[in-house]
Amino acid sequence: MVQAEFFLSKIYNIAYYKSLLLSIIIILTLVSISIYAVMSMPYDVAVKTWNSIEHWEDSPRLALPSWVNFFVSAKLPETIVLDSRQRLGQIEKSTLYIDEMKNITFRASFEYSYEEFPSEIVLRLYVYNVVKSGVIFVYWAKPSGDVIELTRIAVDRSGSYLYYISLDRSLVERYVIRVESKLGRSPDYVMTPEIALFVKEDESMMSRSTVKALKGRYIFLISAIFFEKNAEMDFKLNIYGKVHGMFGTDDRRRDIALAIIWGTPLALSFGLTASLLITFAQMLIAAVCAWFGGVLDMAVQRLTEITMIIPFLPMLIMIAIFYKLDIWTLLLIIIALYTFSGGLKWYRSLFLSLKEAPYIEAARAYGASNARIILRYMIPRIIPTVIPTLVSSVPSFVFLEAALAILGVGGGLKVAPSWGRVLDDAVSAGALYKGYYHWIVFPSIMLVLTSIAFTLLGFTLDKVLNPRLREV
Amino acid sequence: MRDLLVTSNLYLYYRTMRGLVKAVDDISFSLHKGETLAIIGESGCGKSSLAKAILRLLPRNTGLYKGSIFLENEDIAKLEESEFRKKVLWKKIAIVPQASMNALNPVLKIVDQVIEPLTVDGEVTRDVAEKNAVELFKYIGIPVEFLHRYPFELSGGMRQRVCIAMALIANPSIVILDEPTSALDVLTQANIMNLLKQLKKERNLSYIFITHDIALSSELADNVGVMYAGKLVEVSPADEFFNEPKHPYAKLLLSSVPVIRKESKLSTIPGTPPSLINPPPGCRFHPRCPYAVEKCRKEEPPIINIGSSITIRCWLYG
Amino acid sequence: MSFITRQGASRAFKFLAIRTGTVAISLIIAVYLTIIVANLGGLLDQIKILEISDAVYERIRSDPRFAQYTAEERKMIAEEMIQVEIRRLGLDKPFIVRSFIYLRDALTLNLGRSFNLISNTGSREVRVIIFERLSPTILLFTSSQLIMFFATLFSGLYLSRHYGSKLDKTIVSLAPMSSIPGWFYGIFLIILFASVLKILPYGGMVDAPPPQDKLMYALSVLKHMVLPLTAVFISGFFIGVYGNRTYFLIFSMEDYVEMAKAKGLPPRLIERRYILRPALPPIITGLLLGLIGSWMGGIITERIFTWPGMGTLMYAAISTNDAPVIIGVATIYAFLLAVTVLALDVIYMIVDPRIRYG
Repeated sequence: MVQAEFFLSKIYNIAYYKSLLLSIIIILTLVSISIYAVMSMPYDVAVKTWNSIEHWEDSPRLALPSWVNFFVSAKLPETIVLDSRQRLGQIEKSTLYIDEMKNITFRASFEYSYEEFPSEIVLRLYVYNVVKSGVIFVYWAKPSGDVIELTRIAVDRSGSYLYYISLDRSLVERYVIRVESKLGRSPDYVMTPEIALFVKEDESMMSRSTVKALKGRYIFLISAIFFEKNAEMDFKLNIYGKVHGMFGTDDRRRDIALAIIWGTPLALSFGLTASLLITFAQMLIAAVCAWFGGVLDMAVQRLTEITMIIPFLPMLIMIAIFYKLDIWTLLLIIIALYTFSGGLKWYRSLFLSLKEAPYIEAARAYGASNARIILRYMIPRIIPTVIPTLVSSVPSFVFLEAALAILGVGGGLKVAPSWGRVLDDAVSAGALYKGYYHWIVFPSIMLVLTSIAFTLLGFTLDKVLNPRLREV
Repeated sequence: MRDLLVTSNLYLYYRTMRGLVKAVDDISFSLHKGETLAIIGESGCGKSSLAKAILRLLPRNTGLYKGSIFLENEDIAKLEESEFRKKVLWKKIAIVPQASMNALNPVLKIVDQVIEPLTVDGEVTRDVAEKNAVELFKYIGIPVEFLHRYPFELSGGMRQRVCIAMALIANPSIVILDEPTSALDVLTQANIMNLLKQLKKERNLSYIFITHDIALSSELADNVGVMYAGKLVEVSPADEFFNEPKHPYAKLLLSSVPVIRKESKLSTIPGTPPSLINPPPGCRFHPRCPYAVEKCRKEEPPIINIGSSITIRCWLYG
Repeated sequence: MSFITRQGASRAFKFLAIRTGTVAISLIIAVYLTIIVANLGGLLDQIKILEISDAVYERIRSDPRFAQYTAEERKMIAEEMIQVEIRRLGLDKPFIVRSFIYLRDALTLNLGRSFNLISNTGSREVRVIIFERLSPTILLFTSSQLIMFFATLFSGLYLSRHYGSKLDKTIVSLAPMSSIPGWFYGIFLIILFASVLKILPYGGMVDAPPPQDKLMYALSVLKHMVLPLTAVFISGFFIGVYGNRTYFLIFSMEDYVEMAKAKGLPPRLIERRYILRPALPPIITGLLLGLIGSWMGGIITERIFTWPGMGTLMYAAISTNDAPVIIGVATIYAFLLAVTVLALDVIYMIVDPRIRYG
């Protein structure tokens, strides 16, 4: 009964602290995200997806999160994909046979309701059963009725043809001339194909600050002329937007959300595993050393001193790079190195003072085995002191993983989608200078939340379990 | 007999999470020149707090501190902190702490700690102060080379002697002895007690000897004060006290002291020591007092004078 | 100081000698471990053999006496000379013996030549490359640790005197900020001050091109040090102050502190001699662990700020897979750590007499 009362009063004590509540909420959120991640996509699929290029073909590069559009007046476009193979978008196909010629025409139209311009436009053409030469014409019609001939592509074989409309300089030159003749002067900024194809053609287009896109129905026309009866064609037009998903995309078109979501179980399992295993290993070794003393104790003491001088991070880097280890194998080495570090001395001194306690002597007197004394008496006594440290050290391991990622270590053969990896990609790509802040902010928020949650929890547990200074 | 130190309505309360601890609750007594006033009482009755109150060693959670302390007719309780520190502390009143106390700074050499009170305000040069320390050590019987050792190198008894020497370095007229021998073995205890007696005689010191050991107090005491629940319930000359204590509590205390090889039943005082946070109403001792009457439960007895030298707080006498 | 006496001096000397010996042994073992780990896959052997063949081929090319031979013959001679070298250096011996040879090399700082990286003076000797980077690292590191030490010490002292005040509570509640490492704060400091406000540089140690004038050069370096120092400071300060303040509070509750008050000693003296002095040993122990951590954390901080120290060197070596440099940097860090441990042992010895008599 007394135990229950004591326990209950402790629980009340705990509930009293608001910070504890906050940290528990955050941790529960993180755990739910982890469960969602694991259930919706298994680990190896996540890794494969993160490392693939084809999977992200239809995503824009360096896009901002979609919800940014709530806060801006000039809406940023989402990606528009017109794909004749999957019947994405409004596409009409017509086929015409004239003598030996086969004319395949795709007429695709889409609604563009944004004031901002797309980031990139790429056209992919898929040609089948072609051996003799053919030609493909590509046209673009704006809602205003202006028609622009984009290009003519000569085809002489089957396969796919890639046309980077965004890189077509001749298109830009032709367009600028057109604008000059129509409006009398040329814009004061460098014209790009995205602007050219979507701009509202009036005075406003002359200055970068006033240029805006023309809203309305756009028509995209591909007309191909082949000389084979069986020739066939498909196309995919990617009009890449500037916003995508909940967290935006990185420079390899990957949806950052994948790394944010899957990074959560990665971070949590990495941090918790490291923390738990190291704590228990240290406790056990320290207890054994304190209890048995003698040569074992001295040996472990020396070992700890040596470990202090082993440069932890360079050593880790060395091992990871030379043996091409991935982050999970590296974790084992981290655990091994950390176990014999300074913390061990602290546990040992705790156990040493515990060793002289009367109930330990009593246990010895009734003939308890060494193992029993250590496991049932000494270690359980230390646990309240140890739990806050355990919890508080989780963030340092999460940051360690991020740090290793930023140093380019622990990638192994296939890089896992962790928060640290995203940070590393961002920093390496110069996101700091180029202002791709979203790339840095979201993984950072996750790191900071995790850190705050576990640190607060550790602090509060410490206050509750180990009251030292009597608060006046 | 000149009154050297007179405390008048001295209060010291502490604020704690559980409430206000009334450790020193309206204490008044006089210490005469050249005599020993023993303050006896159970653990937790406020004896050590009395020492703190006299020396103004107030903790952070002090709730109330008031009263007068007349030292040679000057109310030192009214002095500014810095004046009090420079003039009174150690130079007029010094303290020898409990023997179990960790009273010496572990990282300083003994000589540095002993001469500190002399050199710190620049009045005495280090050389002169060291000479004083050497002489004092010789006088007290501590090997002079210990001056250059660290406290952890000395035994408990030696450390206590060092504390005594340290207390005398500035030639105070009053020394408060707070359980000075309670953590020492009997032989060492006897040695220290002899030393204290000798010092008192040869240097004309006045002692306030705080202890829970009644038998020990009888060795040095000229006057005895009994503390209970933060109050002084009886003050009387030693001879009279040990012959015939007046206050019921004192009576019970004395009869609880075992006499060597005498076959008698040891009497104890029923009940538990009172809480200093919520002391019993009326006379604090009434729950455990065999003579308690209705009045004792309601009204607190004031200080009653019996004759010229005894004061008592008990309705039996008033 | 107590060890000015002859007895004190000899005791101090003995303590120092033992500690130096112990640390030296630990260092040797640590470096040896580094070597074993590095060479488990035979990497060190490969590096060594590459070096030897480089040197041999160089010799053959430059020596006119070999001009008369055909390419084929020269190759055969080269191979033979390489084998002779290998035997001379004892590299054909078993693994254990080889490892000791490498150990001796590492301890004498004979760290070989890099694969790709070159020093500013054009040398490929790993030792030269590393030493070039040593002073920037030490400059940044030492200043940050000194600032941190004194700031946390005096702030901790101040807070312990004002225990329970609003400031005290505020700083204590900010302590969780230290769970976030300095390099992380660095990223955001760069974003704020370099990218958005544009008042401080993105990184590096000095403006490019560096000023000729000595004073301007120093100022430029200072300007570049502001952000990294701030980052490290923000991360370490709050927990440092909290720890120190807690220590000081615990130490101010000691009996001998009350005795000091009873002795009429002035409060400042009591703080210095009775609270600070005895509290130094555990504070120094904490300092040691913190120092070791910051040597390591400094690698990442340097990477973020492209500070031209050993950290960025390590990063460059990682990116170009330059094994000799990686091993060299690891070895030098081991030396640095050993020096740190020993330095703190000396300070410990000065501050706590109990250690000498231990």
